[in-house]
Amino acid sequence: MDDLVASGIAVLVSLLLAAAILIAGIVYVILLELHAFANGDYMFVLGSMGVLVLLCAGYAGAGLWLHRTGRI
Amino acid sequence: MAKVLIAPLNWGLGHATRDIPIIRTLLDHGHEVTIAACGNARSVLEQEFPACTSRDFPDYSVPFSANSLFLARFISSFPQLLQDIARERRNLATMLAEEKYDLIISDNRLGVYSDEIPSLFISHQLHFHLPLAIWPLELAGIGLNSGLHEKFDRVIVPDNPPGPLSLGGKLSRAETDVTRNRAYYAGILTSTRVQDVAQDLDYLILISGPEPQRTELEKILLPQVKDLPGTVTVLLGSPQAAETTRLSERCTVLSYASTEEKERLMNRAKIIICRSGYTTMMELAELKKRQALLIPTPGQPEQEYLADYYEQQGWFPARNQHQVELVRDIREIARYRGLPDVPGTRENVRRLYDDVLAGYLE
Repeated sequence: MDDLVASGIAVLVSLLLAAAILIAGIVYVILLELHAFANGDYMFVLGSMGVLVLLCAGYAGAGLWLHRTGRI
Repeated sequence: MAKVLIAPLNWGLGHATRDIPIIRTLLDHGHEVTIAACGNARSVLEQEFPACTSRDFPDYSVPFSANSLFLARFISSFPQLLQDIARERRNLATMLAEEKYDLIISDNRLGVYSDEIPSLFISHQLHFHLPLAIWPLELAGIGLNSGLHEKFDRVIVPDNPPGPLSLGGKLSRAETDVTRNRAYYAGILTSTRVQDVAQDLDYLILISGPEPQRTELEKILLPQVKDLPGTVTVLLGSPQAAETTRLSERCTVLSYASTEEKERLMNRAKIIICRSGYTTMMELAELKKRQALLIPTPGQPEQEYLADYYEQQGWFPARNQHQVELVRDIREIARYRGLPDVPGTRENVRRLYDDVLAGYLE
């Protein structure tokens, strides 16, 4: 197989794998939250929500920083 | 005399038309050029260079989206794109087995390179712009582009080097050593030429680009045209119906114009209202047009970036097509200073030949 096409396939597989891991992660976190909520473990719900917000803020912050500094 | 194979992508005519000055220069220096293209890109080049050998060389389907989901459409079309590149590689191998070439020039055709023959890649996008929300993909794109550039001996960038005269902004910025070491900034390359005609047309409105957004823009702009003060020509870029309609004494709508007619209209126009595609921007720069209103095609990140970049640079105002109000927006144009003066195609292509092409051909 041509190496350009092989690299393209590797990129496509990595992209799909990353998307699958991301979706699985989101579903897993939602299930954890629901389970904790059902069990009345509100501290866990609040704590994990806080972590999620921090992660989202970190993601958005990194993007904004890259944009503001002209890297992307 | 050397033999050159040149293969432009057929996504719009921009790739083929910017190759016209390069082909002309190669022919002027006595080299033999074979055109490998498909569709309209091939027709345009065949028409321009009837003496050149032309071969049908299919490329990739265009992943333009009917709405703003360009990226989703692009990613979902990736498997098909890979198949098309594999076919392109096989076709190229057949072509190279049948005939010997001294140089290959690929205009944005990813699979058109050879390990045995010097291969050049023409692209104004060394860095793909994507929406900020998916910034990791934009970073990944830099790596992917770099991997692609590694296959080529040189990357010819039809833009000025990064800096105040760069018309592509970050799009034409080399981000990795692999790309930096191969990049040659040729300056603008366009087949459009300055003509000695009077600027007697107040507004030229170019409604172009992929469907269905082209028709969408037509529906938005046509009802507003009659309110513009002065003479107006609207070019619909719709070759299926070659007709001319006069909306009023001052306003003409052409469903289609030949390349020559379009060039003449652009030369005559004082103000141009158009999409923010890079080819059009090179044309505006070549013609030294100072007044334009840019309306990017929704869902095309490159056009959206360029419109934004030009507005930030203070060159031209830009409007989202769903918010455009011509009478109000043309008043804005005067507050912008137009594109900076940049070296023209004639000078650029001469320099490109001396600096790069001659080294492979003479």
